Amino acid sequence: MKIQIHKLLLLSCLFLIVCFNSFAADYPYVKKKAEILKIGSVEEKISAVLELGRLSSNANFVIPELLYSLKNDESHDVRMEIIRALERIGGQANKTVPALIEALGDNDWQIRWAAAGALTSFGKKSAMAVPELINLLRDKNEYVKNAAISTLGKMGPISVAAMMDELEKPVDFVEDQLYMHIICTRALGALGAKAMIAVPILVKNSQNKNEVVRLESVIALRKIGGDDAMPGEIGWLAEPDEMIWPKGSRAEGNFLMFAEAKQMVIYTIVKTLLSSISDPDVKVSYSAIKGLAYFGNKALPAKDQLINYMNKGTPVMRRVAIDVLSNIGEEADDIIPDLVTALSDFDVNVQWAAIQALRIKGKKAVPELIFMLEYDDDALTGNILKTFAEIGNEAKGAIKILLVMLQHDNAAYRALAAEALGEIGEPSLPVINSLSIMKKDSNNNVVKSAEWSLRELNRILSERKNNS
Amino acid sequence: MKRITLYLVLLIFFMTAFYKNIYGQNVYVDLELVLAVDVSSSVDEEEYQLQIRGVGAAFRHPDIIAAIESTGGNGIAVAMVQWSDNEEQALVGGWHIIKDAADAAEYARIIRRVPRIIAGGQTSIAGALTFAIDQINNNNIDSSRKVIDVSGDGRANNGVHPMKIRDIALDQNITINGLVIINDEPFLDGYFERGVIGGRGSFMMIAEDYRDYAAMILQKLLREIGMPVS
Repeated sequence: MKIQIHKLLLLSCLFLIVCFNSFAADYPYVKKKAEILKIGSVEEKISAVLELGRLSSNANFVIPELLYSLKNDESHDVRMEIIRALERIGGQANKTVPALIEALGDNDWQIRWAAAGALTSFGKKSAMAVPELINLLRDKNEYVKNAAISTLGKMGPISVAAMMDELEKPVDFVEDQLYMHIICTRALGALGAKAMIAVPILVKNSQNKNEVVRLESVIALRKIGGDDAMPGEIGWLAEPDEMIWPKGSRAEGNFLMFAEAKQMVIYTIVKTLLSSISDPDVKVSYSAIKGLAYFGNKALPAKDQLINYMNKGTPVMRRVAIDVLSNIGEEADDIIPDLVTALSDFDVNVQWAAIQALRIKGKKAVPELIFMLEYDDDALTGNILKTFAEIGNEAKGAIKILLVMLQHDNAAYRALAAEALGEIGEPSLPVINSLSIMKKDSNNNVVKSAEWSLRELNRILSERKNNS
Repeated sequence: MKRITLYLVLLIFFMTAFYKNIYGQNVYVDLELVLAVDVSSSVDEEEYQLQIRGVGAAFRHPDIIAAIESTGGNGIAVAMVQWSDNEEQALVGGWHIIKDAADAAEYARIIRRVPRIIAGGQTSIAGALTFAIDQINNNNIDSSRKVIDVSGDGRANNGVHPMKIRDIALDQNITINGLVIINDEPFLDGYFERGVIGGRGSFMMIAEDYRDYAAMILQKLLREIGMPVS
């Protein structure tokens, strides 16, 4: 009985809420709020506009009144609130979008900024605003420019063509064309796969005379090709062997499934990146190498060049070259000795890249690491021990030598060896006994490391017991 | 009987006061640092690993240890916060006071093993900052420098604007620094500069993608802790 009373109360509440909302969104009520826009004080107008915005699509039929006030009201605050309300109501795009486009040309930068942001609510219906938004990228105000590029980015494919048009113009077309190139290329890159149609112009621009244009194009290409979020199907792609598109691609029967198309686009992008490695500008070359890390074994043709950079490049070049090589996979397993050598690089970031690359190689890297550890080279030993810890359980082939390292004169090596044994996680009796002895070491770091590893190994033992 | 009860109440009162005095006293360090790591949906598992392994590696670097040892003798207190949307933040591994190489190595071990508590979600930088401020205010640690080191790869799309919480942090003398990963949003640095970072000596660093994270966080920590004068 109690439950039924509760249900009844709940239903009554819901009924009242529905009634209240119906009343709140009632035609006379909404009209009355809209009337205030003509006769009210600034505060009353703001309050009314806020209420209309809150009503969302229920206030759809007073959009003409709002648009009239947007154009004619003298108060900046009222106009700002009207734009926000229009964004929330989101209706009558055929009237609202042109009004917002007009607001994009307003003298007040905040109005331009708010209008640019509000257009995002209208999706594809705001396509007619694209040229004005492109113009707004030249606005003197940074906030306005950012709002415009952000809205263009959110529009997706409908804004791509307009941005591509900007990229077609030479950098000396007008005074700020280089800036437009940069901002549009970055926006295309940020769109990822949605901007795939821009790949041909970006490939072309990767050969531009201006090094900034080349650099931005290479970065954008990597982002477009490296984007995993793919739409379903495209119809603009040309024949498989044709590298520049679209042309004649909309003909019937010329549709390719996106997966195949993507492979072709990636092939083009990788080809461009491989070619840009030899760019005379070091930043372009660096970005091209960095970009290859996103394409796995497709970077294989660049292996020899990458090894060369790994050995002779600047520290950042060495780091990214290692990064790419580690992502190539099995086909680049023969670089393991080079990676181990890179552990002794004077640059700490290169060392870390090498440790991570060897971690990815896992078990296959262990024999070479053991071999080099036997040389007891100060430049290598610490990082080899860190690498065993990073590799973890796959480095169990190194347990024997790690037990020997626990006796090393250097306390830092003893600590790292103890830690690696914990990370490898093989709780055998010799390991536990050796680590227990290390708890009496004279060095605090070694003691803490041994204690930590023993805790790990005991945890593993308990888990095994529980599982059995 | 009433007198005995009164004595008992007084005894409990004094014992509580004594306990608070001994155990509730704040520890003083030279820097309180929150590393607020983005784990929203835009961050995949590989990118998460690059972040935590990068932080772990940094705490093993001799320059970081030298910087910690040269701060003033009291060490630094560090905590990692994972964050995504307005309701999703977690303190992982707790607060750690690092004074020497052994403490730093211990922290590196903890961080390397830290699981991803939050699977994903939207991006609320304000939520992350609010949570981080709260952690600083309730950690029983005192210091003259308090820093929130927020890293992220996207603008806030959830919660209030970070600017509002940034101002609250500044009122409490908490500095907010940023590590911006511009992989997804190429203009994110401007957003962080205007709306997220702030406070005494605040700065921001830019990583092109998560592959650069380890190199950037090392530089950033060195600047935050204070590079030793050699």
